[in-house]
Amino acid sequence: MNHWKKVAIAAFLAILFALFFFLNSFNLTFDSALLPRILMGLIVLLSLGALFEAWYKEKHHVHQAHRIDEPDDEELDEIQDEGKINYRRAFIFTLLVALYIFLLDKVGYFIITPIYIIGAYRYLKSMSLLKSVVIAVGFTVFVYAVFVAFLKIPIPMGFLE
Amino acid sequence: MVIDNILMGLQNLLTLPSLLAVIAGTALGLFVGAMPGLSATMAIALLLPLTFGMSPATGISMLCALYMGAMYGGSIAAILIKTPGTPAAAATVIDGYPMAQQGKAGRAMGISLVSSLIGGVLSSIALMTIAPLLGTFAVQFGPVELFSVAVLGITIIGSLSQGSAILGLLSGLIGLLLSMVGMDPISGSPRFTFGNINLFSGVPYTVALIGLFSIPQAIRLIEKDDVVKKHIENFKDRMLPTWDEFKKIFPNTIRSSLIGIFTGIIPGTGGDTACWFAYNEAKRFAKNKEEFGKGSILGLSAAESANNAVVGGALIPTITLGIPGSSATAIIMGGLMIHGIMPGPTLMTEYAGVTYTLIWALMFSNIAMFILGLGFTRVAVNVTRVKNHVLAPIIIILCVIGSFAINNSLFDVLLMFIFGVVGYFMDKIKMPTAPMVVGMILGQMLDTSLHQSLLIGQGSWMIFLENPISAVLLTISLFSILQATPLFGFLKRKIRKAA
Repeated sequence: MNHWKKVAIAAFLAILFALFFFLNSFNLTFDSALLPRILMGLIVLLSLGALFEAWYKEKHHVHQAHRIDEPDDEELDEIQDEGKINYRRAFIFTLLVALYIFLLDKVGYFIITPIYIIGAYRYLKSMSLLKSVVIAVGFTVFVYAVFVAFLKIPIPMGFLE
Repeated sequence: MVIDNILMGLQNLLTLPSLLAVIAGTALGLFVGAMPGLSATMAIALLLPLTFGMSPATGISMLCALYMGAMYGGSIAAILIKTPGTPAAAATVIDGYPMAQQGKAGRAMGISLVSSLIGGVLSSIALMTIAPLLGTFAVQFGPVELFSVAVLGITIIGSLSQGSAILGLLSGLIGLLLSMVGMDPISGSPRFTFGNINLFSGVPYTVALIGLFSIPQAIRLIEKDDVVKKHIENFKDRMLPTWDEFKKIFPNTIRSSLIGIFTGIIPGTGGDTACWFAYNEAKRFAKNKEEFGKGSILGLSAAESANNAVVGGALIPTITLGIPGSSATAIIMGGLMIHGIMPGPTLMTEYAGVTYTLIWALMFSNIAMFILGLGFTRVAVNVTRVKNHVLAPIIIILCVIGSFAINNSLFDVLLMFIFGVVGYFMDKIKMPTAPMVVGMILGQMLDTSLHQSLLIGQGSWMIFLENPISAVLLTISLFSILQATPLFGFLKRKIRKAA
């Protein structure tokens, strides 16, 4: 997907976002709604501006000017050694995080966290099962020591309650 | 009065807990900075909840020390494996890596360390001298001036962000709108809460911060294959530069440090801008320009002194005006607010104890960085070998527990995740996230000061132009927006043709 299409989707979503807030501003007093409505109007304007800018650059292949002699994207790529992006892996990893957060309250932090770490490492194939277990237990103990024992924060215990 | 506050700050720092916090923060920053894939901003966001159990002065000092340590730590991977540990070390690669290839990795680290020390000390001195002066001036600001300061902060950080200024400003505006969620400070009624009681106190921007800066980073670490990192040998040559080398780099580091301080003061620009700015100036002033890119100690020292000098510079607008000078200082502001301290003009007067302790902590963190750097750089080399796919799940669990710990709320964890996903997509379209965070920070101040100003002006918007300070600040805002538009380039060309 080229940059112009990405910006078009983002601009559309920003306008929807502003519209959503606008529709919810009718039950506010004039003073309460004043600044938000100004901001909503500016968001719509800038979204259209961003769309135009991206279309213009796409059409005219305008090279983006960089601030204060910073390297352009090609030089940065060389420096940062960019590789091919695996979006499927990124999506599944994000789903794993969502599942982890969803189960936090139900299962409990100290059960789901080591399961998540081991599951993530096995999915990413970044280390052996034994090392995954060691790191999972180690970090869970670290979090307990710092957040429960030291900071006295009530962590969701789930089944352990 | 200022002298008393300076001495009080020093006295507060010279306690065992504070000194240990500064040393621990610096050491953590050194190791975090050395890891490519982790940034100082992210580390500060993740460490922030750990400071809850500390006094405000100690906790914030630790965060500032981490920031300073990470600026040097980023040079380790930059020199050894041609991968900057932090974005601020990008220019370090240009001459640092060739030096390592010539068998002078230790010397490169030493020059980086000495330059970082000089940059950091000068920026701490700047912070100690400029901040009280600016604070004395800013404490006289009323609602009209504060409104203009907030507008200036958003427009500068939006228009100077990397990439498109329009996208930067749009990001800032979205942040401002998000800050409107919660209880309206004027009428006291809920606004944009959609009936959700968790939103009555607004969207906690520290939660948004953790999400926006950490989750996208964790996803970026796993979205590519984890390539086997080049075999990283520990260096064997001596670190400290010779006296002749020191004399050669000294004037250059002073100039680069001043560039770093100045760049840090401007909201929206941080170490990543300063290092290139200083590098280019160093090359311009150098007698032997052909050495640059092949292992020039001047190029290396310029980049490293500038990126450390940014730290103090960025804290100047943060603590005096409440406008973050960089993404990292935006999080440090969050830390102050979590401890119940409002950054802004009153910070130098009402919370002088905390402020001056922080300033001294920054000064001491340079000394800690130098000593720890000499002793532990060889140890820190090992962290450059940690695989990205190993780091990513650890970052996630720290994000989750960190965002939960702020208000003991699972809703905050959900918000953090949503902001994280939004931040990831913002990265993909090259929309900067820092303006959104600044918008969320400045939104309440903007709203309250707008209403107060309109009350003072009896409903007339002309009050913002009739007030001279406000008029100047708004003019600068307008200029910063215009300079980012094609109109400015067009006008420049017209003027040149006419001349």
